[in-house]
Amino acid sequence: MKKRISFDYWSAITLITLVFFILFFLFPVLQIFIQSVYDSASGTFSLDSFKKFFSRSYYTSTITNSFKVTIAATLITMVTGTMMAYFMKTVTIKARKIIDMIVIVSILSPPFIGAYSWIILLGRSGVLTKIINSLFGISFSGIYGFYGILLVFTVKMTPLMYLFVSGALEKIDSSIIECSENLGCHGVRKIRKIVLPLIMPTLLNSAFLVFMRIFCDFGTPMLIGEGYRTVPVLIYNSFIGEMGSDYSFASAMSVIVIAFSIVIFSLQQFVAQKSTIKMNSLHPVKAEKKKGAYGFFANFFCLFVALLSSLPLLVIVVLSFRRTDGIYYYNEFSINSYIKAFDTAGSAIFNTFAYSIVAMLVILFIGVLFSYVSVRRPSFVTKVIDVIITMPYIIPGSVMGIALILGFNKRPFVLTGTAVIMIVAYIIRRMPYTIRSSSSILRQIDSSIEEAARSLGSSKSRAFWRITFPVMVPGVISGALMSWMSIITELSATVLLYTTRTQTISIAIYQEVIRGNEGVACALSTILLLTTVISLSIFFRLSGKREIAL
Amino acid sequence: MSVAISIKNAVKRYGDNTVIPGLSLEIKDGEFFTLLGSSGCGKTTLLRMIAGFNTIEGGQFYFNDKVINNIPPEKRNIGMVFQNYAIFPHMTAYQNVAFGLEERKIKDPEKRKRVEEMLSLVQISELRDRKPENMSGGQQQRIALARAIVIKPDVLLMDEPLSNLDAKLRVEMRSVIRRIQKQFGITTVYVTHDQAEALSISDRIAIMNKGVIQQIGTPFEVYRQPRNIFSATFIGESSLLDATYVQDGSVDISGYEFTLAHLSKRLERGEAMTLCIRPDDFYFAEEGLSGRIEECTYLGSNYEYIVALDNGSQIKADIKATGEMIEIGTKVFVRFNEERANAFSKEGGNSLMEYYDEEEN
Ligand SMILES: Nc1ncnc2c1ncn2[C@@H]1O[C@H](COP(=O)(O)OP(=O)(O)O)[C@@H](O)[C@H]1O
Ligand SMILES: [Mg+2]
Repeated sequence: MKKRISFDYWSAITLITLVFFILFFLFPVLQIFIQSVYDSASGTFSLDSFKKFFSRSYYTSTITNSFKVTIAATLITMVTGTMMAYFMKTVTIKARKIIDMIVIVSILSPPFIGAYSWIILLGRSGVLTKIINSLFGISFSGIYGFYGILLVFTVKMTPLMYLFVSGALEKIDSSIIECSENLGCHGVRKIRKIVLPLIMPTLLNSAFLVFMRIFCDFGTPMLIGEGYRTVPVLIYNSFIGEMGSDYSFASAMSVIVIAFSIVIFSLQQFVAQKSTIKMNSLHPVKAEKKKGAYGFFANFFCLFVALLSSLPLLVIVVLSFRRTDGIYYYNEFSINSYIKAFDTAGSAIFNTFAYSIVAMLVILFIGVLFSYVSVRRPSFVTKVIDVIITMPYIIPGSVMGIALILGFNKRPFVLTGTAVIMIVAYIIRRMPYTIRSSSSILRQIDSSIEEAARSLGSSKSRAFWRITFPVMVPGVISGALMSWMSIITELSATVLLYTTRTQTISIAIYQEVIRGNEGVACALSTILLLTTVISLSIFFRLSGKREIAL
Repeated sequence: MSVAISIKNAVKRYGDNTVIPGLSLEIKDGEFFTLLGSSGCGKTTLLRMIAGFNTIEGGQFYFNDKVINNIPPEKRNIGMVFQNYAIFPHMTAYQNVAFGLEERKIKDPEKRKRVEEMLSLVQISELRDRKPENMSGGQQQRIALARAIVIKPDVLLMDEPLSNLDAKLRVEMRSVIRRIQKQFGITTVYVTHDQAEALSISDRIAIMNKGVIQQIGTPFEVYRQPRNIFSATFIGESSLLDATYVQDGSVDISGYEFTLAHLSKRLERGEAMTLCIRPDDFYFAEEGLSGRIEECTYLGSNYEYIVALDNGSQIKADIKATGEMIEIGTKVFVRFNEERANAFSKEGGNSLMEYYDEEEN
């Protein structure tokens, strides 16, 4: 039939999406694979870079380092996050609402702020370090390396794990718990036999997610790791840093990281498939007042987690308003740091907002329209794209940064050093989330409302723009705000792609920290934090909920 | 202005699955026409072919003399009412009803006048400015109806519009729909699986099974003169009895002779047939088919008896609850109203009654 091959609006969107991902994702990632075995000096192909990597423990140790700290932090947060979720759901906790707010703000706060403020607190000349040393008369030299990274990630990821697990706990019907109690199953036994198995799928999935986040994080180990080098740090260094740039070596390492990511991702898919439990709760378990040591401990624990998560943020905000000459802080209120921040990093602030807004507009335009095609008019091409867009999930930011540089640093596509390449990086990294969330919103909208519009005289595209699109908007905007918050705090790809003209707030913070300009760094971080909080309140208003979905 | 619909040899396939193998149908101008069939028989599929939402794998669809196969839905001037109402969730009742007029570029004051008229016709004027999220199913369905009719469609299509309502509202909405349809005289195709609804609301009913039309007729015809054994058992309840033709309209049921009033004149002695008898056509008598009461249920105005006949069949009889209930195990003699019994050929199950004598079997 003629209709099949006609080229309409919707095929145009499909084509644009396909071309975009091929050009800015598949093509650059392919360059990594080529570079990793290509010796640019002799112009021949060889496995030298891989040999170099595996022959020196200086390099291979980064992998063991990464895994050690990632696994340790993941395991700890699994325990602490689950404990907190269980306490919050079953015991009446004081200040529950405030705790929940703190948790959400902390999750969405810029990732590297944690590392930075823990250095201020517990670093070599940290506030707490001094107190501890004078109190105990020891010479504790600050928390760096393995324990520093572990501390930062544990504090940062426990709230995230808490959020996921409490979602699962909410789905357990109280009758299941009561039933198990009737059958004589109490206390720890009840948790082990009933509660844990029911939340296990969620727990495992969140563990994988947390694992990937920690494994791919660049800012934290860079700032607080010192001699403890993880893979993203090594990639960055070998590309930009100390030893001059070795594209081939950095690519080889990226390939290794991608390989690990794929293994972990497949493992996750496998586990997720094996262990799905469908739960639907009419009467979620209610929190009860618990007396005695147990109740006290539960309250203490939740408050303590909230305190630890809010501490880094408080430190930053407080310091940003103290007068400082760059080295010493004085006990005086001042907005000097802000004035300096706007002086030195005004363009970074502008860039951050400009790039992120442009990126979001592109993401929304393509993401929403493509999700419509993929849900309502699926075809072979949309299925291929659906597969392609799952890949950016498992490519760490630093690897994506390298890929884009390799792809676009020579003719015919010279984009390195431009704003475009940064915006592209943001789009590639966040578009999959928007497509996914829009698709799931669309699946919840009955397609018959669109048919109703058509029966009333609307053409296909009018029915979309007048009916389906407006219904989608609140959900899509909520998702977009989430993406936006993560774009304005992006560091791991940005740090490879920026130039002085295109730097962003997160880069400025990073540089000010390195230069020791802590006041400015705190002021900039506070600006980011404030932006996050404002976006979050808009999000809550729009979604009408008090929760977030990540 | 409404139209007559005619469908010639419509074919619908999903992949290798042929849902409608070749269906023909004539719907008259202004008629209330119902597609009745059990779930999955292809009613929605056929309706959506008329609406233009489904591809057509074969055959022609006409509105009057015009083939509409390749006309997109928005150009067919149809009004459609969906099972889940499909109210636009981001619009008020008023905006919902006004939508179709806006798409037709009809401006105030005419738009306002028509919407207001329609809202009051379906008795929801006071909900004018409310969003659908806080409306009941019945109210939403009224909006859906108003929205479909306000555009003065040539054809009104309704897909199980009442199936999500509770029993009382359903009966109420039936009469609303019926009243408005007659008032505007719109050719209406109505889909339902509920036979009581079909009987009470339609001018004519098409009984469908597996994409094939079994019978088309008025409610009276499909109930009283089923064309085949499928129709007879699908609509209302029937007990089945094996019988053999004797002569001059008389049949033999396990040695006992009955004379059916409207039996076909073309039958031959010894021909095997199945009789279908409605529960309320049975009565107990001094003589007749002998059997024992197996179950009895008190239904208020009636007793419902299950009787195990001595010949092995089982029948259901509804008897007016005037006297005492007959006890289980009691021996009874059963007869039935010979005016109303229907007979079907043992093979093929087609009617053996005189109403269908003209047709080729
Ligand atoms: N989009 C579709 N793809 C494949 N099969 C379908 C689709 N829609 C309906 N069918 C099949 O067609 C048959 C008739 O469906 P439908 O018309 O919805 O039945 P009804 O409305 O009478 O309940 C069913 O067997 C159903 O499974
Ligand atoms: Mg149906």
